[in-house]
Amino acid sequence: MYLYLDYMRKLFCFFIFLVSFSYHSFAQDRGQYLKNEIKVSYGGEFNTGIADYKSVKIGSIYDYLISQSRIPKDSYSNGIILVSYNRFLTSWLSLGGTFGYSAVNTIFRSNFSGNDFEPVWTHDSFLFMAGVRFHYLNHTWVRLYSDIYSGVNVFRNREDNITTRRFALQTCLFGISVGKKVSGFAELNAGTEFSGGSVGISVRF
Amino acid sequence: MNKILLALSSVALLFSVASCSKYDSGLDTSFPQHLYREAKNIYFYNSAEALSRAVRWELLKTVTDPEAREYYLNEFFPNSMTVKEEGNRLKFGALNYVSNGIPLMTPGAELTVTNDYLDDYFYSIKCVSEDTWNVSFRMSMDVADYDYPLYIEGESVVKLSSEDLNTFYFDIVSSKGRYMDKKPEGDESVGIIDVTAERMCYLTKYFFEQYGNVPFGSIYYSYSDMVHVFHGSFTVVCNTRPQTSLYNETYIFDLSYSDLYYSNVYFGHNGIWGSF
Repeated sequence: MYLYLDYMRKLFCFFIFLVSFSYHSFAQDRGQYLKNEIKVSYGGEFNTGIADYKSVKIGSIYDYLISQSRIPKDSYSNGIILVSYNRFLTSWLSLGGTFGYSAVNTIFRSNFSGNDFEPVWTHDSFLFMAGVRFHYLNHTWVRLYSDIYSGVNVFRNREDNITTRRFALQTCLFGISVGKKVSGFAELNAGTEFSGGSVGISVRF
Repeated sequence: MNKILLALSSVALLFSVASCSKYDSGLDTSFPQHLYREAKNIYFYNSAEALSRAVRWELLKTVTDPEAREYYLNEFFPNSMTVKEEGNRLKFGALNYVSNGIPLMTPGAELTVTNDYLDDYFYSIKCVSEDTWNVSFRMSMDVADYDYPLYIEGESVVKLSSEDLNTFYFDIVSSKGRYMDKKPEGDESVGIIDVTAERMCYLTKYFFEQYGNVPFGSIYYSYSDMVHVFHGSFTVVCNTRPQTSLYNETYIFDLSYSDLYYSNVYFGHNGIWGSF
């Protein structure tokens, strides 16, 4: 609980920091800016922790023994693909929605041989979030920004079609976008869903 | 411009730092633990409980002090358990014994046991020396953790290890048998666990209330660890029928480091050893 409060306190401080920077940028806002942006990105160390494998029913000794031939030992994702749309209210503040997809692979291990099997594509993850982005540097070619999004992540177990959900909270701690209407960008992400970096392309119109 | 370069280099650095290490569980003890507890509570309990009740009764006869006798009577046979002896017929809870008239601890004694709650129940005791018995058993019963009943069978040589009523336990001199799924006609998928007690496997019992009138096969005891095994070792061999990916998976349980009061089990499988 203490760690959670500490985390929230830091998040709040970060939010204040962003607003301060944004206010500075707002002072430079001359009302001439593109109001829409679509982003496509890839990256992040996706958190697969929710993967649910408990749908195997153990009704007999036979079931139990067979279940031990295929124990999920590790799950991983090769990253997450994100598509976002942002509407700029000012040159420094935008509201947006994000959809993300990630394929989750699982490594199964036999409890009898101790051997790992080839990874199997077991889960699909669908991420739906909405949030705000702050630009604290708005030059013609380079923009620096941060954002915070929240929403829900829906996992689908491909083997039995069972879905599970979890609350999602993501931030871009630091993002840099280079270009005019078409830009390339890189972000440093942290949150409940993915962490690390992501890169992508955005179009402003 | 310097600030931008600084920012870019920071991102590159954090990219490289923010990586996640993969989880490796190492040796998995959950399955060996499951086998150990199942063999203990399903196989060994049922192989020794009927003999244990009869021996407790015989030992109780040697206690002459009425106060001590009352104490041990309550310890060995809780109030809820019916204890009755009439001629060559004995009744302890749900178990009914018929003897050939020779006292249990005299060579030549033979008893057969039936169970009030289980039709498919056979248990026989033959005394081979004053503290050693051959027992054979075949029974079917429901257990809490499975949808299908289990069939249990085996033969054991059991020796009374201590006549001290306060630390009452047996040596399983040898035991060989199995427990397996008992599935309806047409369902051929059967799991089979063969159990062999090697060298000596000791076994003691705690006289909990549930030992009273609760029948064998009751859902109340199946995994409740009311049996304790220590010293010696036993082996289980897992098979499925029809044979799939599983064939003669063997686990050895070394109980050398367990004693009357403490459990420290080493298990071996495919040359790899672990403990729990």
